[in-house]
Amino acid sequence: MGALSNFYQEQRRWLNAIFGIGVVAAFWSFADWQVNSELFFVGPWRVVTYTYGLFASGEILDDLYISGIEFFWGFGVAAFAGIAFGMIFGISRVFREFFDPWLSAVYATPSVALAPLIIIWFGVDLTAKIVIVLITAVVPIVLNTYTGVLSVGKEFQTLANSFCIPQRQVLYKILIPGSLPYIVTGLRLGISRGIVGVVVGEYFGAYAGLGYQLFKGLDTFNMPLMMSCAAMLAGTGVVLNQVILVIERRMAPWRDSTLQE
Amino acid sequence: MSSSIQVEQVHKTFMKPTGETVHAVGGIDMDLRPGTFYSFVGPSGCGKTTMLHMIHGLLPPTRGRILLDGDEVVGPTPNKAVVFQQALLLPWRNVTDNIQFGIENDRGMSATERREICDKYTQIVGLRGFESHYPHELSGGMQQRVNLARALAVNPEILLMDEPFASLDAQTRLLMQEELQRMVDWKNSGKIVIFVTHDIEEAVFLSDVVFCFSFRPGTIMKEIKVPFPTPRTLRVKEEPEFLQIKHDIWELLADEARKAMEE
Amino acid sequence: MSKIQEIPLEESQDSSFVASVKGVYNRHRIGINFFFSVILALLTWEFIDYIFDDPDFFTGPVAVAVEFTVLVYEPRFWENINYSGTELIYGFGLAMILGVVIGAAVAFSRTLDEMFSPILVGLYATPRSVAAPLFIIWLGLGIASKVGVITLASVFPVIINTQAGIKNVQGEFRMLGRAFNVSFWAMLTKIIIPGSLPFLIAGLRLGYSRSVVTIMVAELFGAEAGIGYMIDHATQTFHVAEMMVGISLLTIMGIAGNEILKGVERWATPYRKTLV
Ligand SMILES: Nc1ncnc2c1ncn2[C@@H]1O[C@H](COP(=O)(O)OP(=O)(O)OP(=O)(O)O)[C@@H](O)[C@H]1O
Ligand SMILES: [Mg+2]
Repeated sequence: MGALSNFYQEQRRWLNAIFGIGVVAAFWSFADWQVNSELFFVGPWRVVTYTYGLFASGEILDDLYISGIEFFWGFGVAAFAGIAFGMIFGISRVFREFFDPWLSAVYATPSVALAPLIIIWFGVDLTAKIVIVLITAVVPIVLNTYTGVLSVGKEFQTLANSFCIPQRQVLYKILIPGSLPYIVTGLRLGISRGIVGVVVGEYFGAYAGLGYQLFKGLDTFNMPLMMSCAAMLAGTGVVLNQVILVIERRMAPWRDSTLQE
Repeated sequence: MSSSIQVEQVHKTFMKPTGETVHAVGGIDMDLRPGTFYSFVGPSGCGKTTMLHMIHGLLPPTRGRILLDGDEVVGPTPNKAVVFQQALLLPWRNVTDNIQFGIENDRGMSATERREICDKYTQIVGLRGFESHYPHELSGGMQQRVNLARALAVNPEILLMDEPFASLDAQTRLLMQEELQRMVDWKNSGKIVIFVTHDIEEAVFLSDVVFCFSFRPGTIMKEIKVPFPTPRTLRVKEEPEFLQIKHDIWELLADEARKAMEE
Repeated sequence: MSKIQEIPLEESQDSSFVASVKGVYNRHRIGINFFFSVILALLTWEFIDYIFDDPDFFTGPVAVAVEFTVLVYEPRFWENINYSGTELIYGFGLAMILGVVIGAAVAFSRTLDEMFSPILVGLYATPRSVAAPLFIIWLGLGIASKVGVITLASVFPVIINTQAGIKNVQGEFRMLGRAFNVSFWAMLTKIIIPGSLPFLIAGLRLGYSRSVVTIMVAELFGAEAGIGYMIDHATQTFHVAEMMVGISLLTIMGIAGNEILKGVERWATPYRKTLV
């Protein structure tokens, strides 16, 4: 008995995490068993097998590819532009004071609401989808980068100044490393928003994509398809989030804890 | 290569966004000669840090001027270096890279030379073995020693130190007081050192000249010369003349400190 | 320290005209920049409209304002606002309550923390509003499905921040509380609640902005009314001005809620400066 409780104390983190997942899966399965209708609800195991079926038959690969392209370009440009603009806002006081009211507005604006406008301007093809992902993902990246630059205290600027470090170098010696934790937070928030952007973009006339399949599922009352798509989208969010965290840990060994957003 | 500094009727007034003004420095004259160690002592908030930063060129004086070899100081230059009151280490750099911060842009120096200088000062401040530690892994006193090493590594003609030993433990502090004389060797190299401290004994022990600041707006109440030959050993602190000087400064500052407390 | 700007005495004593204009600008620069920023944006917006000159493609602020004055007379318009407002209040309200309760539970119980935190953190990183179509099937086209999605989308920032806030003060001040022999109740009301409030409010602000976004997403997938529904409908019929009115309404909802929460934050934690 003592050995068993010792084992629990040593490994409780893992055991409890697995137990937690088990509890959720059990509830989920129980609900499925109670509802007992694939039209309304699907259990966890069925989601796994259905998703496997989609891959095995290859019918989902096109959709993954299309959504992947949309996300890759949209998020890529958002990351690049977001960090650049955030830096400019953080560095230039005039720029900041001039655009600050708009930043607060943008923070509070649901950027997906702009999706229909984008569709009208860019049509229903791939470009429009990419732009939608871009505008939904870019906002938290800009705002967090900007907050990050401001959080790098002025005293570090004084320090650089005191050792005669040229302004150009201040950017990569002080401002970028100093705001890195915030940039990472921005990217993480941007990922999940970008995925929502993919789905919303595909709502407006698409021929393929995970979002498109989700709507097809809704129109045809195909619950397994819907839950499988939702699970894939959610899983992508979790995986990309972890990737960013791992990169951060590699790049920023000076930080002993992860930041709360 | 030895420079001198003239401080002429320097005032500094800060204005807060509320419009309220703080007259921090109120008309200071100083004539600083090469090869001399100066200390600033005075009550908290009397403008010592402000004066130091103005000499460095980090802040412009509101009135008056500061001349370095006859030219007005308009900004920091590589021949001056400052040890800040807060350590201000870059959290994303380890000890070696923080010490290297001030010499990275010196083109006349090879990477190996830089490495050697860093090693030398890491050794001097007693941080051997901690080279790859990040600031958050160091104690407050260790961080302060990196701050010191960073300024020393520049080998400046004018070394400005703002309470560099404040967060060291008493023993290390005494050792560093002795060590500093050897490290900087201002007499032979013709450097000017300015050292801000609240510890009167420390000021007298290290300095050739002690400037006693009045309460805000800071002015110089008295300039006291310390006659002992350098380098000094800690035994100097027991000599009657040393104790007398220390006592005089204490008397002088006590009234000012009381004013500061009452504010 | 960084907030304080220094102004040399000479400049403030100078009485020439240029200096006094400069002085006025410096004292009111935030307001002045704000004003010009707004004017410039409106002019740019109107100018783009003028260039395109195609109301099916782009409308300027004037056209949007005009459209708004037309729409106010339609009962349908107010119904839409009412509908989305109700969704928001119930959805976000539920998220607030659930978020604080769950957040506190995982903060105080180590076992619950170890069991569910990995799942909560995982879900936090997922795009949760993609579950909207599922909710429509489960709860129908009415308001209930929207409330469900909004709650799901905005509850996680509240949970995570409540938990982080409580853990943060507990870690820092538990020793202090012990040292002064403080009772649990006093600990809760004097240290834990006030100490974790800034985190909680930050979480609420994140959650609120999530809620407003999700109104749009949830209503796209099928609704009977609402601002998102109105935007979608206007899109299908190429009514750009009406779309813009809808977008502006959502933006106003977002800004208003955010400003209120910012006000609460200033009131509750006057010792902290806020950003954004
Ligand atoms: N940037 C600033 N804006 C407004 N007031 C300032 C600023 N910097 C310093 N002061 C004020 O000027 C006075 C002198 O400050 P300073 O830092 O020079 O004091 P000090 O003598 O170094 O004090 P200490 O010994 O406590 O470090 C203080 O009253 C301080 O409040
Ligand atoms: Mg000081």
